[in-house]
Amino acid sequence: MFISGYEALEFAGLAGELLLKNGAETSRVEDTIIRICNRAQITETEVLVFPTGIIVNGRFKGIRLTTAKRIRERDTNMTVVSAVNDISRKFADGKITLADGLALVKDIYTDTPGNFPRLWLLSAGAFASGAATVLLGGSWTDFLPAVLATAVVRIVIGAAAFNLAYVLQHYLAGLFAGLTGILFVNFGFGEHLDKIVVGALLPLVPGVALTNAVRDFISGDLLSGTLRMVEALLVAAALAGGVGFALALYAGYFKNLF
Amino acid sequence: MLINSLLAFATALFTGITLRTPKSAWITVGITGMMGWATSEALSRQRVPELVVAVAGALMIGALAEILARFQKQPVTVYIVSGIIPLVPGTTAYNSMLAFLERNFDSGLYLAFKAFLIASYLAAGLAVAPLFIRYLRSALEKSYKINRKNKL
Repeated sequence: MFISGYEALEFAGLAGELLLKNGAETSRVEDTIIRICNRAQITETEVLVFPTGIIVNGRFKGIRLTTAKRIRERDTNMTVVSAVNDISRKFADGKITLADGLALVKDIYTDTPGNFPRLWLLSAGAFASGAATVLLGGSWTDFLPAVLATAVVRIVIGAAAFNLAYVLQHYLAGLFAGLTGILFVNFGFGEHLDKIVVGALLPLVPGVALTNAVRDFISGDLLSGTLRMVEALLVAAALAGGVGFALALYAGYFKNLF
Repeated sequence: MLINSLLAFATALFTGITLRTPKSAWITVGITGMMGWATSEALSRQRVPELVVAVAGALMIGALAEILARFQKQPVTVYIVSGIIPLVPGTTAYNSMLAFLERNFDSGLYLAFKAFLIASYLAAGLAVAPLFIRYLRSALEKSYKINRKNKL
């Protein structure tokens, strides 16, 4: 009797989890869950979304059902956000049934779309940094060093990705960007050290976290906004700290650290 | 200016690929980044204050993202996340860190706060843009309806 209610909550929970894990803002997650619940005749829906978890509670045929999701790791994958958004809209418009929707979301969960080949992601990131370096005022001789420095950074992050803390990962990224940049400039391969390092790290800056933080604040999700703001500041500080350490080793600022 | 616009296009496009943007949105993501950067660059050449420049660029990106999202049926976030990358105050943050290393704490703090302010203004501009677009859209729809009534 209550099977469809449980299924609807599972559907809503999975969709919300996928959205939150892959870089959607809090209000979008809440909207999606409420839209799915409304369509599945769950009334009095209450949704709580934090960056680290989701709680959904609703009334189905006279009894209250609850589901909770814990979010442990976060990534940015816009293909998943787009796909889940599409599924939830189709379900809300009545174009697909509950069972179909649940199956589609489970498909995304097990077989993530948008996972382009590693080498492709690596070279895309490298060229983004090369372009950013020249855009920020570097000369064209800085293009290749920035590309190579980013390749090194991405390989290090990819190699260290096994359950390394989020912040430590960015610290290492900053450190290696600084070290490779110094190495290249020291051997006369590239001119502007600052442009190379900033360009190499530009695609890693916590832009997603910060914009989502302010959007959360404006839509009234104070808790999510605060948490994301802190996350963005931590990541930015980690990047700067890594670069700072590399520069300190090189330029004799080391005594100034203490 | 033209070459730099193309570079901004490339930056946004390739960053979009690393953030795994859906394939159908790759080109439009690049255009969003390019337009945002061109807006802020054109303004900063007129010696407009930096914070105003940041807000204007972000408004441009937010508005374009809102329009393109309707057009291509993708979430708005897809365009914003990559489009904003060329405007991020990376150089200011780097100089702030350098100042700290040189023990110029006051200029380091000043630059760090400036970078943070620019970033917040960018985000605020992005968040305000949809309100404008929605208002314009509803106003357009209203006038369209009134016109149709008059014809009938």
